Amino acid sequence: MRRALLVARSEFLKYITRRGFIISLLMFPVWVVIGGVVPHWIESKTPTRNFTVVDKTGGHFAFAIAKAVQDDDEIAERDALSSYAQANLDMDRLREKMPQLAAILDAPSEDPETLAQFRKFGGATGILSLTAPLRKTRVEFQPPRPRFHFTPPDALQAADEGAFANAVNESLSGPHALYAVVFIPKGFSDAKSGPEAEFWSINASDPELEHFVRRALTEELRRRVLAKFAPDVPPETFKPTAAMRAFDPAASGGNHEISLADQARTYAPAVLAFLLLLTIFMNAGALLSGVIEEKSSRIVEVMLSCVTPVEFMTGKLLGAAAASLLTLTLWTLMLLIGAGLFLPGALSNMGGLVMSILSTGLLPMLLLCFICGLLIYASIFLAIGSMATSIQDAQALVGPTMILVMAPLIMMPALLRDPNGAIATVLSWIPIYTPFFMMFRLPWNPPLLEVIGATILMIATTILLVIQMGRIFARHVLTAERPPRLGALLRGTFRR
Amino acid sequence: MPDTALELSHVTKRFGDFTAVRDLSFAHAGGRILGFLGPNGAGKTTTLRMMLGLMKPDEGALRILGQNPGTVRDRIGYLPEERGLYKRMRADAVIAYFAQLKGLDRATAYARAHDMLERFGLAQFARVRIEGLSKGMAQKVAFIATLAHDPDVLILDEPFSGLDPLNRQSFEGAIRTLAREGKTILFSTHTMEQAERLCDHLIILARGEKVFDGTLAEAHRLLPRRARIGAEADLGFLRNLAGVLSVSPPAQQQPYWDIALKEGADGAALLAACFEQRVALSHFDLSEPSLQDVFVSLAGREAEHVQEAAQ
Repeated sequence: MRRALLVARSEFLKYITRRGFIISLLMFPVWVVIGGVVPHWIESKTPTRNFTVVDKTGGHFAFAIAKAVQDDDEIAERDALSSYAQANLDMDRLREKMPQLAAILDAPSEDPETLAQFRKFGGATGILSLTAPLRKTRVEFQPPRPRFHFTPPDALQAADEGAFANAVNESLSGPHALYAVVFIPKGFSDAKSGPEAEFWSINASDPELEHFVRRALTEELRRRVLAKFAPDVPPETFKPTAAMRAFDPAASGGNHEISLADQARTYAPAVLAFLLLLTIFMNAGALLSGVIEEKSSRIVEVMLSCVTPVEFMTGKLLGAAAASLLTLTLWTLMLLIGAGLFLPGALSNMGGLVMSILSTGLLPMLLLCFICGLLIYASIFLAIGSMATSIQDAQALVGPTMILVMAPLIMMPALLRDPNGAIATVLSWIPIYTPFFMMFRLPWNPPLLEVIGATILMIATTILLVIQMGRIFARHVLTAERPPRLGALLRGTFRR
Repeated sequence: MPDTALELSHVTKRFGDFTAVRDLSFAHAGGRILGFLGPNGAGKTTTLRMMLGLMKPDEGALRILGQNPGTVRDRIGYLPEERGLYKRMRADAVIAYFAQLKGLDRATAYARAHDMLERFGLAQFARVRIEGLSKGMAQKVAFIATLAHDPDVLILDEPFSGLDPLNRQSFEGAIRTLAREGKTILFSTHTMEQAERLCDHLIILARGEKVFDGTLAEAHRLLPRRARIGAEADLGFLRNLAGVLSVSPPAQQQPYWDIALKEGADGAALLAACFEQRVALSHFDLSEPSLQDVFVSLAGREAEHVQEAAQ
């Protein structure tokens, strides 16, 4: 074992001093930042889209759309103010001193009652001046850029039917071009046989405004139908919102309401399962090229004159596993440090989440699954490396293996819908996938017998695969022949 | 250390239908240098791998220091032809790593590495990565890595390949010193001059079979001594002398008469006979057959067998 640990130490140092390791390590947080920041950045940089509505019905629909644009601006402003407040205001004191204002900032998006309160307090400007004493930072509130701007139709409204297409074309081109023109024909209504509204635009790839207008018109039609059947009821009372909270008997809070920590506990294992595949993908190349280099420079002969093939392979596996665990730890630390530096308000939440994940009883089982998964997949790649005499040979074998290893990713959506269903159960019993699927399913409390059975299967598979792949490794690592055929390989593997 | 350090008894190794080593037997005493010679594909590497315990023979038995190769791993040092070093490791680290794998503790391994680097004149390169060293320096580091754990048996596969004459000389000196210290050394080589200079014992393999096993003197006796005489006159009369095996006239690329002598024959008799016949000589050269001649003769005979078999 001493020799295996020496090999493991050397392999570990070899991995973590590779340029590729450092790059991969940095790529993940960069990828997270890109994934989290870029969509917001793109949205913030998207120019406000100017459009107009030519309403031949008398202007009611144009007015409804203009009102929807105004609501949309206010919703976006309230949402932005809410995010700003969570990070920059002393929310605990605000809840204590000004509960009405705190309720506005704590409420979910698009709640009509909240929006009414937001207007009542003077929008963002009014609320900011009221809450100024509770500011924790010097960060200024930046109101969001409006998504849409309603422009009066002017000349287009007067254009007759024959010249309308040309007039629209002119409006949609030039330096002050409109993004879109909406045409509401005379007689437009909810009647199936009536004329249809038209959306004119040369930006067919961006359907956001079209969907927005369609929703606003539908809303107006619905309001008219309701007004017809209940004329005495104010229209805003017909926009009720169902208040609902999520509960789970297994949730951590005293009232069983599902908190952010509960959600983190549910999804963290899935993230860990995904990271397992990611680290395997990262390490496969290094494992393969390492063995091929050792073969081609005859280092492997020197190594095997010092240690047994089993010690050599065990050391390599332990080294790769240690490098993967280090990767995982460093990624977590980087995310925490990044959050601490750039999102100070989020750090305490993230710290709480990490602590809640660490405190869960699932952690040892998750780590066991992670390590078994790593050892299973790494031993497969080491055996492939031992059979190959060049990177080209290795790539021919790695392609199909990678497809097999990555297959669980395709199953993720089905599993999320029904984590303890028939598909998930069957997949958990396929030995090379057991670690992945068990990690995924553990938070959904699969039957205890299944957990015990799958754990035994997983450990047995790991031991068996490491031994059998070690056998392949020992048999092929000293040969310079081309990789054997599959049949010969299987016969060789299971022959004593 | 047992008297017999290396012992192979009827060892055969096959790869599918191909027999790489066939019924190989020999014994080599401890504290001596064994030259393992043979053309490419003769089975040298396969035999070395079996001695290192990397492969098991299909038939026969190997004993290293009186035991199975796998159990005396720590008492063997192995230097492969292509140096076998991790390019990105530093010189002292790679030596210490292999020494630790052979049983030394970390502190001793590093101390030994620095001490030996100093002795081989590489102290200032201790913290340089292998990829930053010249070929000769890297070969020295590999040699030190083979020795650092103070093994009883050294197996060196083509240790001199790629070395300049100065480095080759210093390696030869180191190998002789080790032998004087009582180490058993086996080295495979294609360079016959080195084998002649260094080895007490020679094994020549061809097509997986042993074709010679003995000392250098015994190898020399396998071929007749030859005299090369430069003369315009016909020297055919020398055939009548006692001890002369054959007389060949000059031919293309061979400007002298070539006279083969029986073992123990007196070369001076040739000179006396020429003077007696008043033959004017321009050249006289009487020499032992070189190991190169013996090797070519033995390995060439095997090559002829191969050709015959193919026909």
